[in-house]
Parts: sequence; structure tokens; C-alpha cells
Amino acid sequence: MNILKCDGCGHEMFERRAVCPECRGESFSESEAGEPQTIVSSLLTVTPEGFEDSYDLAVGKLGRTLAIYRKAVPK
Amino acid sequence: MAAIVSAGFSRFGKRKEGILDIAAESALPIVRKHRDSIDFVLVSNCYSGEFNSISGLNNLVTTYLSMDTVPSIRIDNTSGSGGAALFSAVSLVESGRAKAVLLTGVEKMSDRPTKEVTRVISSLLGEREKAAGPSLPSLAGLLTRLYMDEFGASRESIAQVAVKNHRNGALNPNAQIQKVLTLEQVLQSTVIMDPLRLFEISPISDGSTSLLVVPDDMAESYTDKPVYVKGIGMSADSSFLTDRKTFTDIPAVRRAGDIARKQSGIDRPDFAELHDMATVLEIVQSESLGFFPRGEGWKAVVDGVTEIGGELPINTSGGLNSKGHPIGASGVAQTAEVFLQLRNEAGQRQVKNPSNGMMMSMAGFGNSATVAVMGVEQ
Repeated sequence: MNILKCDGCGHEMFERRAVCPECRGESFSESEAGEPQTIVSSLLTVTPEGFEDSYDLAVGKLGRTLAIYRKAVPK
Repeated sequence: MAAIVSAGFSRFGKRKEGILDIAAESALPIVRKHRDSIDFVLVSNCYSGEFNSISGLNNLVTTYLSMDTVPSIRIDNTSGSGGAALFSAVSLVESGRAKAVLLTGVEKMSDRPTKEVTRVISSLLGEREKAAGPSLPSLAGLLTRLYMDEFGASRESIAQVAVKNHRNGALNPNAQIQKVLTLEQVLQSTVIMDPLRLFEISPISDGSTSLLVVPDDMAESYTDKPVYVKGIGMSADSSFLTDRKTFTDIPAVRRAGDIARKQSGIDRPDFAELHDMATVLEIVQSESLGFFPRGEGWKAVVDGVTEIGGELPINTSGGLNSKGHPIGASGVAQTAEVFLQLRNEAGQRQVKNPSNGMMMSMAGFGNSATVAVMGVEQ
């Protein structure tokens, strides 16, 4: 899973910004950060339009930031 | 300082009327009496475009009320729209730019399927966060797990918030759900985001509430029971949840509360209306506002501290959980509950002799928050 890293101070982000919240830098590079380490997850059974009817939703550590992602539900 | 001198209500729920009629239902009792005084209208609304295919709602509302030449603005700050609109109304009268602001919060959501409503509401998240498919209640589900793990809160203590708020809602004639629930009924209702259940999450709602906000020195010309906005604070945080340092504290709520408490000189209110879109949020917010030490809000619920007869009643109206959550109307309705309580007009859910009360209106998952402390004395 990719993260964005500020070219000025190295601050890592999951979501794109125009300006780094730490150093106000405006240049970022995208890099692969591996798989997130799940902090918490749970089964969602009322889902937004455009998504399947249930899935495990998770928040995990990704590099030095957080990620929100769907986990595969074991069959 | 600003004062609230009148409030109007619609019943919350699934309504057959269109959004303009719902808005008029709460606004007309105020407009009939004070039409000639009202010189500005604020319409708190979030989704008239998405749910009703309407733009320019504020001007449509003023025209529908035949106040065609009264200037108006629509205020959208997601689920915190009502708080932001109150902040704006207070600012207008305190600056002298307006002398009587009609503030109408309104939303009409129930025409749309649940999955569509869920998608629209979650559109406030970041692009990559949205792509994972979260809903706002799903984030509350994750928060529930984190809160229970971090502080040892029992599952029952979280669900008890729904029991309390439905009991309160059953005493509110304008509440959407007027049904007393047992703990077992809450815990056995449909799972929405494990562990959170159906009765722990606010329903999809239509409804409106209106207020008349005037400068404090004019308040007694409108009513002999004005309610003064003694302090109001607004704060914000990142829209991106993946930037947050913690989920079990809501810094925007804490900062807005600090401002409102400092301005008002009231550290601990007699009662409060909080943003219980999900049960766990009421508990976390009660800690962020300093009512209880961090990690101990759940104990206050179990001990009955937040019941109507408790030391610090929370969500006497039934909260969003039972009263309903027509998004643009909610913060206005929370303020109106404080208004009623301070005037001793809350009927069977009346708190005993309150002199001040607080409302907290929150956008998203703490993306922004408005806290107002109101009182019966200047």
C-alpha cells in the first residue's frame, strides 16, 4: 500500500495534501510502504452505495501514518 | 452577547412533506409573531442538493415564507451545520450587522435508500479513506472497540446510553423514536458495525427546528424569559482520520468546549446536549468536554450520573439517537432543547431548576465542533 512522503521533512501521509502540515513543504513523493499493521477492525453490515453488502473494515499502522482499508473476510 | 428569544419545532421522523413545508413548520410560529423584526435568515442544511435536488435553499425558504427581501445564507458544515449556524447567528447580532436572525435548521433525508444516504454522508472523508468503504457509523464501531480495549469499559455501559436516550426521547413529543428500550433490546438489535447495534445509531430523519436570535439588550422586548448565549466556541481538526493521533479523544470538541467555558465563566454546565450519532460518541465527548476524567465517562453512564435526575443530565431530548438526526437541523434542535430546559418548558423531561446548559454540535468525526454555553442570566 502506498503512502505520500514530504520531500522537505519526510512527514508521511495516507491522504494527499497540497501543503505539508509539519513543514509547509509543497513537494511529495509516493512510495510503497508494505502492508498495514491492523490496529482495529470490525465487520460492517450497512455499507455505502457502490460497495458490497458487508466487509471487514480496518484501521492500521502504515509506515508512520495510518490507513483505512477493507480486509478480506475469511470464507 | 446574543440571546435566544423564541423556538419553533417540527416533529422529527419520516415525513411525507417536502423540505420547504418541513422548514416552514418550525419557522412559522416565530415568523407569525416577529416577521417585521427579522432582518436576516440563516438556513442550516447539509444535503438539499444531494437528497432533494435543490440549490439555493435559503432563498427558497425565505420566499416560501414570503420574506422575499430578507437576506439569507445557507450554512453547510456537515453534521455540525447547526452549531456553525448558531455561531454565525450570534456573530451577526453581536457585530451589529443584524438585529433579529431567524435560524432554521432543516433536512429531508428519508426519500433516499439507506445505502445512498450512507454514501452521501461518508463523502466528507478523504479520497483514499472513502475508497475503503467506511460509513460514519462504521468509524463509531471501530471507536467502540478501541474505547472498550483502552479503558476497560463494558459493552453494556455503551449500550446503556441508548437505553437512557430512548427513555428521554419517549418523553419528547417531537422525537422520532418514542419507545422505551431495555438493555437486552438494544444489545439484541441488528448489528450495524460490530459491536454497535441498530438502536445505538441515530436514524435517518426528516425535520426542522427554528430559533430567533437577537442582541441581549433587545431580548426582553421579545420575551420575559430570554436565554443568553454566554459563551460559544468553534474549533476544527483534520478531515483525514488517518492523520489523527487518537480516536478516543476528540480534540476539536475539547478546544471548542474550552473556549465556550472560558467565555461563559461556567466550567461545568447543569446539563448538556451532545452529538450522539452513536452511543460511544456521547461518552467520548463527555470526557473531551471535561465532564468526566478520560476513560471514565462510561462509569458515569452506569452510575446514572447522566440521567435526567442525575448530577449532569446528558441528552434530555433523547439525543440524536432517539430524537432523530435530520443532519442540518440537529445542532439547532440541540440548542432548542437547552432553550426549553432553561425556561422550564421541557415537560416530563424537565431538569430541576437549571441555570445554565451546554450544547455541542459536531461535524463528521470531530472534523469541527461548536460548543455553546447558555444561561438564564446575562
